[in-house]
Amino acid sequence: MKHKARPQLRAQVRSRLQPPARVQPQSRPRTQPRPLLSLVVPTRHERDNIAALSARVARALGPLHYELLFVDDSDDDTPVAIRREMASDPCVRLYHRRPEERADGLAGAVVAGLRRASGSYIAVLDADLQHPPELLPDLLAAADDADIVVASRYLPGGGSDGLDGPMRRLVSRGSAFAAHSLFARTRRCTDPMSGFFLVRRSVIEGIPLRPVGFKILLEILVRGRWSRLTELPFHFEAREAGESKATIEQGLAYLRHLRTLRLRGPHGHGAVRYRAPRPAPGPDDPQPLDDDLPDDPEIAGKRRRHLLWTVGLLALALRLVLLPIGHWWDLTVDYNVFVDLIHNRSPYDTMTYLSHVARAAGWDFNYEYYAYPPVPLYIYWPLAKLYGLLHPNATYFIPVSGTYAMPSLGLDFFFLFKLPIWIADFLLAALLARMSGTVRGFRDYLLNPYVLLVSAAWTFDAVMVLGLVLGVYYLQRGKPVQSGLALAFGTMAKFFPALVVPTLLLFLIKRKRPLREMVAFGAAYAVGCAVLLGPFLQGLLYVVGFHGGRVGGGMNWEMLWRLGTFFPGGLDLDPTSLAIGAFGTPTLLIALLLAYWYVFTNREMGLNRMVLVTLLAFLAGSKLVNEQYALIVFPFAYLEARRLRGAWRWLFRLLWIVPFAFAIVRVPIDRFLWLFYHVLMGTRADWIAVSGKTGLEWPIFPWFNPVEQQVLIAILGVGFFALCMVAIVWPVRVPRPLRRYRLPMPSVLPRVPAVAAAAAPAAHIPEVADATEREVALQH
Amino acid sequence: MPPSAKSPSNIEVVSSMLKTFKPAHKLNAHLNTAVTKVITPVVLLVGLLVLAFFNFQGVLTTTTAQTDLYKGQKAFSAGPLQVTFQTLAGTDRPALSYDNLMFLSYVDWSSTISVDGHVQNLWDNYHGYDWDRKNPNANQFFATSTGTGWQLIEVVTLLNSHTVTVHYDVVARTQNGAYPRHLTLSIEHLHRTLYLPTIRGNTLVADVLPKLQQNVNSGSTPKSAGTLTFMVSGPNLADEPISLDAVRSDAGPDGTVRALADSFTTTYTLDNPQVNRLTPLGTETISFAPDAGPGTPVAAPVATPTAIGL
Repeated sequence: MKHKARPQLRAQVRSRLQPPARVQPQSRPRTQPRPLLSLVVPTRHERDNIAALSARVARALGPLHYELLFVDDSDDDTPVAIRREMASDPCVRLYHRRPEERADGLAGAVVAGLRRASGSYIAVLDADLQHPPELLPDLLAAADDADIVVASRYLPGGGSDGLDGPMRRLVSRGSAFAAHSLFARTRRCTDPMSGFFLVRRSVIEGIPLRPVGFKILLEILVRGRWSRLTELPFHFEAREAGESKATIEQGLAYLRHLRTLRLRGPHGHGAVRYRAPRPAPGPDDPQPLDDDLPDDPEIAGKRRRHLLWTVGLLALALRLVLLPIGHWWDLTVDYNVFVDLIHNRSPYDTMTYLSHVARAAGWDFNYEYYAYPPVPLYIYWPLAKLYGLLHPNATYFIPVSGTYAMPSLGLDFFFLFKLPIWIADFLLAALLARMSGTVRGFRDYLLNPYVLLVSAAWTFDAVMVLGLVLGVYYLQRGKPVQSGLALAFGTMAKFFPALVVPTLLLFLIKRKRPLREMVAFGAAYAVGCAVLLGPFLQGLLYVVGFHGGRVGGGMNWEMLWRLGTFFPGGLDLDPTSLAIGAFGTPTLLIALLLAYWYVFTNREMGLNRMVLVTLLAFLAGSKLVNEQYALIVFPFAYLEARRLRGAWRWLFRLLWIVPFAFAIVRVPIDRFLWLFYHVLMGTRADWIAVSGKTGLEWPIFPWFNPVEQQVLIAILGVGFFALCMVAIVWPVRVPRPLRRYRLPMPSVLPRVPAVAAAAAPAAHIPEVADATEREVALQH
Repeated sequence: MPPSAKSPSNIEVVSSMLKTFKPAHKLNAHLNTAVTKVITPVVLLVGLLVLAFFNFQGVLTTTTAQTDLYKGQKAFSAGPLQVTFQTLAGTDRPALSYDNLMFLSYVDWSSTISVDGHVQNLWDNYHGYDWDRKNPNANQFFATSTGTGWQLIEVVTLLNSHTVTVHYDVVARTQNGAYPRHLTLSIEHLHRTLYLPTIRGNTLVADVLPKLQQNVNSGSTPKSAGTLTFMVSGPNLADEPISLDAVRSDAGPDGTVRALADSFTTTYTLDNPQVNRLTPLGTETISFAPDAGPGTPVAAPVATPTAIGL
């Protein structure tokens, strides 16, 4: 129930603080039994800062009911200064520690203050005014949706000028890195060394805190009972007075603290949900990129973890079962690329050589060899070398037609070749879970039959899709550089992610993002591509030429003509089809340009839909659409189905079912099982190698009859094209009458207007009148 | 109305407007408009024009290249070394010249391929050719001969100003369900006169005389144009891969017997080839070092090139 009441806190804080005005301390209401907020301020020899801090806190928090608790370890007259403030401000309290109580240092002082604080929320800040008290209302408001709110120096908009020199900044960064490395729960926090933060009381209640040194936030992050973390940027200001207490001894204490934290419990556990600060944009401010992002999926609890493990192990088992299957031509090429890499020969040179041979010999216009960008070469280079160690006599297997390397390949080749694909699959599944906000994304990707088939039978499409999805993921979260680099990685694995680069730029323009973000994105993409391209530019140009000159086919509009030939009186329009194929590149470019225009001018489209429409336009406009190409739309169609539900769920299903069926009918599917034949029936494998037939062409399968097979292929091809067109023009938002609302129930959860809540009279509690009494009470 | 309150002139109005003018939108808003109304239509139009240009230019290039191909001859050169390939004749496939002196010619008329005992002349078959049109510096030429149950692929590469390689691959093909069991390829090499040819293992070394063999007088010391080094390597060489065809013995100026020849043959054999698969036979590496005249630099030693073929 406490969660439901949280929105009132934000309203209460905001409404009470407007308009900001200096409020006389005596006029503040103290009518609640427990202050809303306790400020714990450890002090040591800070007498010159006390008055200023107290005044700024009073100004910042205004009429809010709070307590300002100084935990003082001073030997000078700092307590006198605090008592002076107590006399004039009833919110100020003092806990002066005796010298024998100060052995635990600054962190011990904070812990002592935390134990004595009585507020529902407890904030910690330094007395040296490097932590601006003006940020306290924002911290408190952010606590609506969070258990811990950290004022971070390292978020955009923050700053660490208050750190004395680059060395201290480096030490601070290094300390944070060490904490991130050792404690996973701290990784979402950009500044676990911050001394300025706010926590719910429940986070630390009953938790034994044993900090060493001065990093109390780290102690709370590791041991505390929390799951939701929010950060706000703040500028770490220069000291107004006093001296820094950072010393080498403090650094050593920090290392001891890390060791203690690592070795001794208790440690907090459970999922961490991180919410980045989201300031309200002004009319001219750039629109946020992550408006409709779901929260990260909850994976807390034994049951959910078991589910993840079960799905993961099942997915791995299925992939192992499918290990010895594959597309015969792709695997033949991949095997030869392994041999290329073993001998440090560029596959592009081999392709060029073989293409000339093929042309001279009349096999084909081009030898279809390794026609991809170079990233897979980097990935497979060490694996190929390993294969070379296992098979020192591995030689080329260059087929003309009708014979393939596949039956003679061992399981070790299949494993080495598919290992990066499997890793990409799992990373993609995890990414999809994050982007969809549910662990179902993990399951729905890894166990999808179409994904299984593509991962098992074709090449490294999953590696490319990983780069593509990662690029979109980063951009949604406002990280253009990472987005550009991820897309460059994807583009240099297979070309498809290049299609969405203009889309992402258009998205940034649509959202009126700053120009620097667009430049950063474009520059990161260009530099990433250039670095990955390395010495392969010439080869890549050859590959681009190869793709430009390929004949069309597959799941696209060309099937319309083929379909026409199967009906009585239908025209044989092969020349027309060929002519259209010859103009395939212009057709595709026009389709893409129209798609860019459409996604840019449609104001309602979010990033996911924009990317999806672009990719669908490619599938609809391309002269060649192979079965595995549909994998590029799978993640985005899935996310769209999660968002829109309803009919989109069926669109999503059809977007993988039709290619799946197309693959089964066209291949036919049983020819993927060559290695099984090779292991179980050697003679049949040899026969397949020569004839291309499995010997299992039973009448029950549609491919027994070539005409029926061709009709089915044509219908599925045209169907997929039509499906893409429907998905492109499908409304971005669900029509209002169809949308299912879950209406709020007033009888259960009455909404209280913020103004009314602010004006509501609070219960009266007796006021602690005497300053001495406040101090003595704290001593006990 | 007081005199000071007279209405401002148009210039004053405009200048005050300019002073107080602030763009209604930020830069990215202007960018938005520019992309919507200018960049996209321009890209669309320019893209179409570029596509049309390159598409038709590509078609034209292909046509031109094919026309050139059937003019009958393709030549590469590197320094004084030249490789010529005749497509319309059974000789000079290829021909190698150094400083306009032809020192070796591959002759399909005299070359044979034997498939399971059935001997065929290489020239009496179908032929195909290709070379790298986009990269003229590749200096590589591809030729095929296709007969019943086999296809021979010959790749000629001009490596540098002293070295040429000729690589042979073969593809065995099924004929009526059967496929070849044994292939033997013999390549005939012709030249004017090889003087003092010696064969050691897979290497032949000889002086190249500019005059014909019959014009070499007994007892005289002929002037050599240079030294030919011919090396053959590969996985399917015959037991004696190089053999001289017609050796003429002659008396030298000091009365000793000397050998002269004008042709030699390289032989490759392949048993039980895998069908429809590119199988390398071997690579011939031809180096020519001219005799050093006054001021002529001595040719650098030629490293054995790696096989171009696969």
